Amino acid sequence: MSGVLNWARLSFRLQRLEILLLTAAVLAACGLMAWFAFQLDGLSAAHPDCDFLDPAASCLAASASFESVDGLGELIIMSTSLVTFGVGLFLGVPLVAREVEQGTAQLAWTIGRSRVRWLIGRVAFAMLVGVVLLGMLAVMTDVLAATMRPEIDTSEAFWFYGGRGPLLVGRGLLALGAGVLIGAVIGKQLPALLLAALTVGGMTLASEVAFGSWHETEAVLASDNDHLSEPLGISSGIELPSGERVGYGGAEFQDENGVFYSSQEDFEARRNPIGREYQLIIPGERYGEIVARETVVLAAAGALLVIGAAAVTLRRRPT
Amino acid sequence: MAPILETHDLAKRYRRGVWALTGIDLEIPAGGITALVGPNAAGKSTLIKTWVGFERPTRGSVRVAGIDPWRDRAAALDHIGYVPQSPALYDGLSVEDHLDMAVLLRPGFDRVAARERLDQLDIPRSANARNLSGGQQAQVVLALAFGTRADVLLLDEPLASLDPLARREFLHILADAVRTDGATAVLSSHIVADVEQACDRLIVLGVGRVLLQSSVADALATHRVAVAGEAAGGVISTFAGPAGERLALQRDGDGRPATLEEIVLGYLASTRSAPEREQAA
Repeated sequence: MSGVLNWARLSFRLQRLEILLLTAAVLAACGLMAWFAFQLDGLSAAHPDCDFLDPAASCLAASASFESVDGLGELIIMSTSLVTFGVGLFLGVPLVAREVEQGTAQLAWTIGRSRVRWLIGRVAFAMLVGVVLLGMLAVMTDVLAATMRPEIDTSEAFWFYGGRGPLLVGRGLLALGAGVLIGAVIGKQLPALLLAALTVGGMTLASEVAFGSWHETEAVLASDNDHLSEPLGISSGIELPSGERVGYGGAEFQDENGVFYSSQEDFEARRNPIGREYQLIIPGERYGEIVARETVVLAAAGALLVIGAAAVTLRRRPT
Repeated sequence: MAPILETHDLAKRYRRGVWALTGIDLEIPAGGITALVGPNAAGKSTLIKTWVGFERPTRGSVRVAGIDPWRDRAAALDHIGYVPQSPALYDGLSVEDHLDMAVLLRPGFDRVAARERLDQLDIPRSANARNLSGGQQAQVVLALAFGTRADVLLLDEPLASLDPLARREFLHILADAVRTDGATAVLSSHIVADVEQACDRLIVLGVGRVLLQSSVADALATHRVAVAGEAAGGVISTFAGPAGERLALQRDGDGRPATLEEIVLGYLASTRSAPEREQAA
């Protein structure tokens, strides 16, 4: 046990600057989110009879205040994504790159018998720090999101899907893995950091496309009440009487039952309907399951990248 | 007795097409200090790095205690303590932290012995590594290498960044430790005077090949120096003397006994091309 603690102490000292800066950034972000959540909670509590989404005349002033704080809260949640990537990259890139750049790899890789064991020790500590910091962000974004939409249960709703909760941990671990691998390949911190940032951006887009395709295979037709639970919208359009699903092209007039018509005359006379609107969704109650699944996939991808980094580290020159 | 360090027909070519080593055959017996001498770019560092397992041979084989370090690096590293060309310690760690790290990385690391060496040199173990002088940093790296209790110490120009006093101290400690522990050390340098007193064996490396491999005593006993033009037989090459005169290095010739520096200079001069020799003459 003392060996593990000693390793943690040394690992911390080797990345002290990054860890302190990232901790400060995460604490600042969490502090801001807590403050906004407190403000929104206070407004909701002070005006229990007001529906801020559809305010009555007596609630207009309170609703305006809520909206303004709510808008800033959204900005905070969105910018948290950058901190998420920053945590992964700044913890991951220096692990091998700095050792190679500063020549200390020659020391570590000859005193120790196994480079892989050395790397696992370094990555394990960085991941531990990363999970703690990212976990704080995950919790606080969920708390803030819940206060922004007090009328729904955000644990079963896709409100701010991808911008809050455990997915931030998954993304951060993916960034960490990419950072370690690219740092090991390039062996210089700054170029590795820049390339890793670009790569992580690309990987995030690719993962969103992949997850989007996965969602399409699981989507169901929305029922009338599904919109209340903030489902994940997959696609929508018009279902023709033949059952074929098409886009909205040419359909400009819709009646109260969701039926489309191609002209004003047809709409007014309710004749020659094109078809009925459909929406494919993933219901809000699946939010927890989907997020857990994608977090695991992203973290596993990060772990694969670390394995790649180990393979590179085994073969690369130490300078 | 089997040699502890070997290379057979070792050649190393870097990606840019430059051959750093060509056809190196070496057998270094266990015990003592071997000086690996040669000019810059002679291939000294590359040779040491192939033994450490940092460089993969392009051709030929390398053995450390009978183990190929590229195929079984972990087993080879059990026998190796390494001091790199530019001893780089961790900026954020104290000297004692480096010892802690070594204990964690290397089962059996002798922290007590390493501490003793550092204390003998008055190197504060609580000091941050970045606050140590170049000489002190080199001594810390040497203490770490000794602490591994490895039977082979590979030192890649560790003296390059040291002042003369620090060089002398470093060599004194190395020689003392090697003799006490019965280890084998290979010390590369391009300055003959640095290694002359401390080494038992001499390998002269030039343009990527071995020019001389001998014990220091044999080398001194079998080489002579005479004024160029007056030397009779066994001339290896001619080179400039301290006053600009042309001297000839002979093997078993009729001149006066050669110094170690003259032997090295003579062998290095033998690698010059004919036009270069004419120009020098």
